Amino acid sequence: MLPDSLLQDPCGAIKAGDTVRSLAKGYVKNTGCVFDYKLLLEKQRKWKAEQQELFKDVK
Amino acid sequence: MNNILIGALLFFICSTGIFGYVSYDLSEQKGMAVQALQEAQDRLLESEKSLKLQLKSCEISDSVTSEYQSDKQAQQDKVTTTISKVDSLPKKTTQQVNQDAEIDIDSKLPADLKRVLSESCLPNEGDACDAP
Repeated sequence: MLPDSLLQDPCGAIKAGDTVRSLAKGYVKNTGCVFDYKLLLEKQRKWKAEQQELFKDVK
Repeated sequence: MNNILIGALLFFICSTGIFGYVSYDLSEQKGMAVQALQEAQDRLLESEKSLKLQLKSCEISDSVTSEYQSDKQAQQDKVTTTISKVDSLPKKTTQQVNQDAEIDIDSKLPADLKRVLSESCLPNEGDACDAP
């Protein structure tokens, strides 16, 4: 069973704000958020692969 | 004298029969006990094997979770660094800027801002940064 720590939303979307600077900061945070989700998915895949390998001989 | 010998012989035969029956019965019980013990040992071995697998599974979960937290922290540090760079970009001082003025939607981003923003895409290879 996938651990809870790998089932939590890592971040949320940031609003653009009303200046170029806030828009830029929102862009950086949102881009980082996408990376966080990709990272989370990558770790979930890794966890699943290792568990399948561990229990491959169990009926 | 003969009666005594016959009586002793009958007693011997009867007692031998009784002991034989008891011995057979105990032997059967022993067989069942040995079989039950063997089954219990088999179940114990299976339980041990299952426990080891579960422990190994927990170790994998801990390892992957720890790795994820570490990588996530590293990513957040990069985001914080990039945001600090955005914050430190200088305001326009060569000319008076009207705070209420709106910029044209198609106007180009300042070169230094564009450079800093491109840094946030460096660790994030993939769909998010493929758009023009």
